[in-house]
Formats: sequence, structure tokens, C-alpha cells
Amino acid sequence: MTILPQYKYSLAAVLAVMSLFFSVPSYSDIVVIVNAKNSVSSISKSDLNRIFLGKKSEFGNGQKAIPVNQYYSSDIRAKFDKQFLRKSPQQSKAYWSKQLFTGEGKPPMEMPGDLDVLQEVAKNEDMIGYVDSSALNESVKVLTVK
Amino acid sequence: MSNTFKKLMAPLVVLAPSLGASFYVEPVLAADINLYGYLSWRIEKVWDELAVDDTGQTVTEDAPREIALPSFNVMMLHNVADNVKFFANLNGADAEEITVSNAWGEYQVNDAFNVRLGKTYRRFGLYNEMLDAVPTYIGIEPPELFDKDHLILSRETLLMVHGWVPLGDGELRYSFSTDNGEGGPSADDNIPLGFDLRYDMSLNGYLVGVSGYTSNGDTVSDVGVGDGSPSTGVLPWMEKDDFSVIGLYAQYDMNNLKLQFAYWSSDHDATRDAASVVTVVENAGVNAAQRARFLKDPTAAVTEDNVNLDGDYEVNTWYVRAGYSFYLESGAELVPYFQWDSYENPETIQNKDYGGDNEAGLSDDGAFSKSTIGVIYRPIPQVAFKLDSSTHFQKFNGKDESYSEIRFDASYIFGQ
Repeated sequence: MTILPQYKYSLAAVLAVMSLFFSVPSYSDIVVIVNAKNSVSSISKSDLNRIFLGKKSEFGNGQKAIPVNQYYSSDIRAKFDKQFLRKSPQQSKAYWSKQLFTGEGKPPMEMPGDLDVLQEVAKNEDMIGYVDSSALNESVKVLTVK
Repeated sequence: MSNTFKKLMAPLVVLAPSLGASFYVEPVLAADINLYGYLSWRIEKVWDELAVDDTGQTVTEDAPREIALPSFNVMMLHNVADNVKFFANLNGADAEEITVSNAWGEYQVNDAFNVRLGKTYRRFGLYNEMLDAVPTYIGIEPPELFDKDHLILSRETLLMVHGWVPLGDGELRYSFSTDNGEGGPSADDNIPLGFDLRYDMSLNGYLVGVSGYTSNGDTVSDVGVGDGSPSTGVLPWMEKDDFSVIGLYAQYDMNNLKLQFAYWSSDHDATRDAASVVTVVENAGVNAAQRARFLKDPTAAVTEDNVNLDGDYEVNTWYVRAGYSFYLESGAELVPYFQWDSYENPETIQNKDYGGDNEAGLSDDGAFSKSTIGVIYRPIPQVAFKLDSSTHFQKFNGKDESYSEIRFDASYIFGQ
């Protein structure tokens, strides 16, 4: 098939727009998870932000909240930091350096991948983490982020 | 270790630093201890420093370059229990002597109420608590109010209560602090009070706040005349000084752009010490404006009777800082930045040995401005290379003059 030169750019634009609808992201949705026994079913975006930035140590129901993060260099960590903490990985690292240097607190524990996070959260009733939705299993409960 | 034992131990750990007591930490607690810190190496050079020659003409000369290790901080954070922690920050600047910058214990009643006892940096504006964290912030030099040559108030305090409550999607944070006062306890048992109130809306990227301090009565300097720069807001030639500081600050993070602004004003109701002023005027090399402030008759002999004892004055300072982060494919971060500082203190002198300030004290009217442009390169988050250049603008010897300096700082964070 021959494409006339004058239509080349139009075709490229159409393909670009179509790709927005049909592209497959490298990650599907991030889901926030807690232990299956946790009575909490939803969390506000601001409380999620506070828990993962070490400002808040309890869920809304008064239960202790222990965040578990994914590795600094992972793609899902970058996506979570951007989406829920409003920070790049570097900004997140700088934030925790400041927290440590002022004695305010230390960063959450980090896990290498979704399976490790699922295992930790399934073991501990106080933990809250996040994984890719494709990795979910029944050992944990998904929180609605409002 | 049982939770019961941790709870029993908690008050001891909180009280230990303030009582000067030593305490035993069971080895099993080592898992809860974080040891970390950073070091910073710096080289700086000043060109065309201003001076007046024997004929009264302005001359310039380059200062010798200085290499220093301004920071070597080792810190320890120990979470003794969920609501009790201990923090220590030891500073071995220039690898000469070790000073204890911070040593405090904190007990958390809840998010809204925490009690911190021990030597701690007071919460005051954007920078006081984080000045020891050079690798993490924009710029090399601290804002002028916390420049160690001319502090607007002491950086440390001994008792601080603080906390936060949710307000909308953000947090309203407060702190109150008190201590002995600038030069130590006063006979009147004044209770100085510092406060900070800020609204932190990190989800939307902004933070605004107000900080203040009052000596709540007369206080004195922590150094004598000829003993160098005070580490408080009181000049060493004052017999007494009742002063207050108030200021506003704001920070905005928009994607990769960070903007900061702060304004501070300090009002001093002070009385000069006649003998100290005579020493300063005779030995420190004051300029005409400073001589006219210190003496009733600047053309007459320098005697205690000729000293103007009314030392009331006001310090004003503000700054803006802006930096933009570029993230490179390698994972490195490049941050060009710009700063503008303005500072005005009509009471100070140039000679730092006598408690002066080589910037405001150099100026005819105690005022100067400083523009700075620079860049930070962080190949990895733990390492920062900073290079910047500043130009000082002030009135000197009756004319508007400027001089420049350049700095390079390499810093490394370890142990996190």
C-alpha cells in the first residue's frame, strides 16, 4: 500500500490518538491493600498520603497502621509515589532524608515486589501496602481510596 | 523484649538527655536503632572584597580561597516504643571537635500532642530544623536569618511541644518551645517563648506558616565582646535586650518546580553596655554610620560618657528561592536554582571577632542584597554536588558597590 506524502502526517496523528485508547499500560491499576481481618474498607487519599509519609500511624478506626513500601527503584513505587504522594522517587528519597536528619521518623520498610508485599500484609493485621491489581489474591483486602 | 518493659523504659529514655543521665540500651533493641549521617566538603572564594585605604578611597582585594569540611554529622534515631523515640546528632565540623547539636527524647501522647525534652532545633520557618541536611535542600548557604555570623535568634531550644490536627486535606501543625533564654537563665526568670504554626497541604503542594519568638524580658548575649559571633540574637555589646521575632513563610511545589519565600522582622528594645561599646569602637574598626549610632558625639573622644546607651533597633530580612528538577535517564537529578536574599541590621559591625557580621556590617547602612545562581547534580540520591555563585550588593563608602563569591560543595549521605 502506498501512502501519499500529503497524508503521512494525518495518518500519524490518527494513529497517535487511537493509541491513547488501545495502548496497554505497563501496569494496570495500583490497588491499596490491608490485612483481610482489618475492619477498614476505605481510606481517604490524604490519610493514605499521611500514613506513607510517616505523619499518621493509625487507620481511621484507631487501629495501628504500618505502611509497607516497594523498592525505591521499582516502577510501581514511582507510580504510587506520583499518584498518591505527589512526589517523584527522588523527591520521596529527599523527603525521608529530611525526616531522618531532623529525627522526625524513618521510612517504611521496602519490599522487592508484589508477592512480598502480599505476604507481609497477609501476615500482619496492621499493615497497609500496595500492589498491581493483576497480582491480587484472596489473602488480603483491597481498600477503596476516596 | 516485652512491650511492658519498653513502656517502663520509655519515661527514662525521654528524661535521660535532659537530666544528663546515661542509660543502658539492651542489645536486643539494636534492631530499632538507625545510625546515619552525612558529610560535606566545601571550597569557596571571594573576589573584589571591599575595603577603604588610608586616603579614604574604596579598594578591592581577593580573599584567599577557603577549603573546609563544614559538616560531618552522625545521627542516631532510636524508636524505643511506638510512641517514644530518642534522637542524637553529633557534629564534627572540620574534623576537629565533636559537638552535640541535638540530643532529645520525645513522648507522643497522640498526633496532636508530643513532648520533646532535650537539645533540639526549634521549629521556626522552613530551614532551622533541616540546616544540618545540606545534601537535601536547594542552595549551599542558609537563609540569612540562620547564617551563623548573624543569627536572628538561637537555633536550639530545650523543651518543645508540638502536634498536628487534620484540616481539610491538609494538616495544621503547631509547636511551642521554651528554654533558658538567649544568654542563659536571667535573674528575672523570664520564660522565653517560641512558636510555629503552619498549614501543610502536601497533596496540593503548598505550605504556609508563621513563626515567632519573644525573649519575654531582658536577656543578654552568650558571648562577650571580642569572643566572636554570638549563637543567639543578642549582640555582645548589649547590657540587656528585650527582643522579639516574627515572620511568615511559604513553599510551593508544582511538579518539578519548588518555590520558597520567607519574611522575618526582629524588634530589639536594647540598652548598650558603655564599656563594651568603647572597646568595639576603639578596636573593631567601625564605619562612620556605626560610630554615629554608638556615640552621642561621634567627633568627640571615645569615652563611656559619650556612649549612646539607647540600643533599640530592628532587623528585617527576606528571601526567595526557586529550583527546578530535571530527571535524567540515568536516574540522576539536575537542579538549577536561583536565590535572592535581603538583610538589614543597622546595629551590627563588620568585625566578626567582635560579634559582627562581614556582610551587613560592611555596608554603610547595615543593608545588603545577595543574588545567587547555582546548580545541583545528584548522580544518586545520596550524593550531591552543588556549585553556585553569589553577588553581594550594598552601599559602601558612599557608593553602590558589589562583590562576588563562588562555592562548590560535595556532600554524601551515609547509613540510610
